[in-house]
Amino acid sequence: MFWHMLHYRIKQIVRTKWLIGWTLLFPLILATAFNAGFGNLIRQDYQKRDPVPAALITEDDSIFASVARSYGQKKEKGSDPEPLFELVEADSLDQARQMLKDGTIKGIYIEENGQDPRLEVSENGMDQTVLSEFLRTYLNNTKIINDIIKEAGGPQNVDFDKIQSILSKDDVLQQVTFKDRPVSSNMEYYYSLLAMASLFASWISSFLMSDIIANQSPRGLRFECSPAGKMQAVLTSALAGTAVQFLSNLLLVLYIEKILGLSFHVPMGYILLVTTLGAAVGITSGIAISALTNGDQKLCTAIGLAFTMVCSFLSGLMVSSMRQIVETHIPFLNRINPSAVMADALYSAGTYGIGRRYWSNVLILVIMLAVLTVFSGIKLARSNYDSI
Amino acid sequence: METPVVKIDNLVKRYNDKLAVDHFSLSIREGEILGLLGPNGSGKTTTINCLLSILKYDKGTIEIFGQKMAPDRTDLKQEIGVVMQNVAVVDALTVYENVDFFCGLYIRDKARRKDLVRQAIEMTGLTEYVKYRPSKLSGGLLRRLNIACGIAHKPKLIIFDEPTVAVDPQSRNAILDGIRKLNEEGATIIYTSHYMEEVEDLCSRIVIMDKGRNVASGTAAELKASLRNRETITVEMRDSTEQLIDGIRQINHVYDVKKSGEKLIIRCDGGSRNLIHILNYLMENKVDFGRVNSTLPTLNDVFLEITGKELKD
Repeated sequence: MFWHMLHYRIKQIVRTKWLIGWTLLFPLILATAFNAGFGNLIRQDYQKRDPVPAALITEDDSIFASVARSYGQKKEKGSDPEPLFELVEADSLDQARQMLKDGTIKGIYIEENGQDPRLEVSENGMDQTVLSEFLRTYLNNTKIINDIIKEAGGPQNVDFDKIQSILSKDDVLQQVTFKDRPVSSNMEYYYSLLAMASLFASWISSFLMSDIIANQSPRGLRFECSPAGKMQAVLTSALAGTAVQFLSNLLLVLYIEKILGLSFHVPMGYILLVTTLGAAVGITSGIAISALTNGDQKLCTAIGLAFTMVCSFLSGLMVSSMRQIVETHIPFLNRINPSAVMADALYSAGTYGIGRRYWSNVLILVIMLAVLTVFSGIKLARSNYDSI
Repeated sequence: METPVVKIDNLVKRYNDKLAVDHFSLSIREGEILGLLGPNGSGKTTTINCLLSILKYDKGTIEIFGQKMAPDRTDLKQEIGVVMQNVAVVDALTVYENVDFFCGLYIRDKARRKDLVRQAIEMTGLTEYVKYRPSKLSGGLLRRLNIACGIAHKPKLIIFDEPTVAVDPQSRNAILDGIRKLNEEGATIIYTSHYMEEVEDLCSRIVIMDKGRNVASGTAAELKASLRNRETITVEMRDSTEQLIDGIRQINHVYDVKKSGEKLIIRCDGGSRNLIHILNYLMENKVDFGRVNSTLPTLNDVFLEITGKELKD
């Protein structure tokens, strides 16, 4: 009977157009829309930046000149660590300004008359921000060193090796890659999209549960008149829903990675582990909602939709930084929101690789699944009804 | 003594303060087609749901095949077929798949199931529609599918809860013929309806329900025999005098004569030649009259006499 029910449950899901529309087509459409909106930004974020060309106009023996030359030395492309800027020769400030004007360089570091160095740029942008950030870091470190000297009572009392280490180019600023996984904040949309698609499985189970519970539909009434076990029917429905959602998630991931060309930087198996667990959480949520709504199909659908959309919103489906905002103010919410847990698992795996954070999120999903399963089992175990 | 297939004793079911079933008792013998007749809201479906252990009830006992019915009695459920008032089929499955799906909840053996599904589809006249989805079927065919899903596993007890609501006459006749056939094959049948003609035509015994109570039971003939009114004769006439009415009242078996507009309604409590006697009297007295109509009592008259209201109210 198990296989009989599983067989027909899968057929029922696959042939129900609105269900397939919401669980498969809608996420595909949303993925395409996100690609139109943020796809190029994500692809640009993937590319490593070339060093920003800049000129240095300063006194030869200044500390800043020494640090800047050391940091901005021209290197072979692809050397590690690759500097964020490289110094271009300029004989005078006028020549440098001309180079800035014609776009040969993006900024000029100027240090005159013993004053603090400053940056001259002709426009704002990422390149200028990189140059500015280097200068800001230098000035910060200079202030720290001066404070140390002042505190020590004079330069003769200071360990200059320490000061040298503070000014060491490696500590100033460098382009960081996370294990060759360039991170784009816009990928948050796709993490949330996968989470949302997984949680849409709650609709599948709500839909199937109406065929099992007597006070939800005539089919449910007929089912409860039969000798078939209710728990077996719930289990086969859950398995059928999870299996269909697994395939749906697989198609979505393949579409995003192979067709849209956006990489999660996570091996497929690990993505599917998280999304399948998420789908199972969605399925059990749908079962729990069905068990709680006492036969009110409209209420059941409304709660399922609200649950999925609120969870997805809080995990960053509409605002990519939402998960971080929640993490700052109500971190607990991110631990109990299945969509945020899935998004964080995918984010951490994509950024840092498969590690403790990823497995912690997997564990949270397993716990959610267990809690929802026990709750649904208790609610559904009752034998008959006060009214139908 | 033969064990009844169904025995309901003193059943009471309340929905909050409303008494839906009021100390209802019933016993059904093997091979019977029992008609449960009553107006909408009389407690028929509630009684059926209690019988199936879908609904909790407040008082009473229910036995099926001599054993106490409970929600976990899968052995008893195995022998029961249910055809619900509302069509209970899966929209995404074809006619064949629907029957196979529901039959599979009872029958595990694939080969046997295949045979049973084929028989059920043939019996309900759905052979040419096996690949259709329910949404493509007419109301009557949908009802037939609903029946096929409920009876495919060859149950010993079949409950039909208003299976012909909103069904065209052709499908209705096919459904009633099918039920007769199931009964001939040995199934005991409970048939609830508020269509008295159907119940009278189909059922070997009838229980009339009102306000959750069993108000009368017996065969259709027994129920009608319990009435004083055995024949109602209506005579159209423009001028009817009190003298004429008194004269008609004197005719043997006439117990009531009423004037209603341009009609005289004459009720008789027996006799087989009442119409001839009345016509002779009218002609002898040279009374002008139009159409004359004689009707025998129906179950509605039984219901009317017992409850004071029409069955169709």
